[in-house]
Amino acid sequence: MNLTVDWLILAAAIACFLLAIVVTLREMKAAPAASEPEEHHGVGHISGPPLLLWILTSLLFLTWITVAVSYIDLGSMNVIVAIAVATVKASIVALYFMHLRYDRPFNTVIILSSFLFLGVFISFALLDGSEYLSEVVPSSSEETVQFKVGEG
Amino acid sequence: MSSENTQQHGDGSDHSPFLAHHWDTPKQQFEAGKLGMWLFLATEVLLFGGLFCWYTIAKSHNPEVFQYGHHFLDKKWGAINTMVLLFSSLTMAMAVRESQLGRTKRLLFYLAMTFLCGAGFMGIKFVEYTKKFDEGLFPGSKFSYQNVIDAEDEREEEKLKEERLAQADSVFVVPAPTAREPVERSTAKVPAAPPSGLATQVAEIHGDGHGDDSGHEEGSSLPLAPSHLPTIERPRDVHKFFSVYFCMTGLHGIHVLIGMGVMVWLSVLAVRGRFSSDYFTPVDLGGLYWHLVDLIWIYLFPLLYLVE
Repeated sequence: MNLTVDWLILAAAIACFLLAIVVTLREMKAAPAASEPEEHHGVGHISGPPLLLWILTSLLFLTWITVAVSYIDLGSMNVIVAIAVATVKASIVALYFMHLRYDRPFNTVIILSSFLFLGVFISFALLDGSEYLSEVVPSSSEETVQFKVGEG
Repeated sequence: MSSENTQQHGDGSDHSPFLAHHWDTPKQQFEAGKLGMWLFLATEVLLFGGLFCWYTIAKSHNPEVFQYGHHFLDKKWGAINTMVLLFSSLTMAMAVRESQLGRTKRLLFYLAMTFLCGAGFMGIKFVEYTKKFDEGLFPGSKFSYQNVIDAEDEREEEKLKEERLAQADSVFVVPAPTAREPVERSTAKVPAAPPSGLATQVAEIHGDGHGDDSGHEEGSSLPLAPSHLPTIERPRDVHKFFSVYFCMTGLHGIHVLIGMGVMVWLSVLAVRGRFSSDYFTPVDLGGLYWHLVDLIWIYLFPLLYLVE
């Protein structure tokens, strides 16, 4: 069962890869005729299907890596790898699907600052998190905790 | 301001019917809309950030709860949902492209595809949630340990039975190799005539095991099958994992539903002919929203489904 998920993602990634190659080749043949972005009036950036397919291919491959790594026990490295791969994926989505790469840099500053503040939020909460733990969670039997569920 | 406006009107040629009067150029209008959308997306990141913070704190306090709890989630569904959302991001990006090129029919096709992917995602979520609810794994105070404990008892009984079986085999059968044949056949569900008194007992125990097996298959009377239990020992406070799980995926699911609503709204506007290569801002901004929902799932999937 676990293997099938793995292979399913890899199969999807490879299918997407082949499709991307086909579309890219077709585009290259028709390239001189259809240079659409140049005809455009300049509001916003237009991404072509080949680029978008390559992006999806890379995202699917990265998903496969995430799932494949989860079967290997790397200790605490597992979480770090998972977050790192997710961050790469998120950057790809933001840069190409969300056009950040072609946008004014200020939009990037905005979204990065939100992640910066998120980092501050979480790291400070982690520093302080266990400070009042003994008062919040009575360390006794299961029944006591079950009462606490509604509040916490 | 007014002088600029009159200048624009005086120009005439590049004045787009979609340009609101307080903007100088369509580009300025478009960039301002995008700026507002990115500000909104930043607040969305912080909204989910609260839940991610909760996740981090809860996991740092009770890592064993997360390790145990995630066995109840199906990696297969999580991975399929990830692929569905990634694919929907592609169709959304294509929808934005077609709206930029002013091809309304293709725009409608890609919007419909994106909507269907969102519906597929929610369908899979429905299947997952239904299974959890059937097993009594609710968020918060509704969480029930009863099914988990029942399943654990059942598993314990099965284990005892197997041990008894193994003992019976080794004690009674090994000294009499001729009696072994019928016993093995009886494990292969062929009721064989036992040759001796000792073997009868063994066969009875085997038969007992079979009766229990079939009873267990028809008797999905247990809401949580013992085979679905994680193999590791259950720590205290397992409900904490499910509170985190339901809040994070639930808030994300609400966002997917809103995104699907946006797709319908954009389709209506497209059918009414509101979009052209001069004016596609709503499609672009709706696309940004959809991609953000995808982006959040990119983090949710490994954090909830792939904790090892």
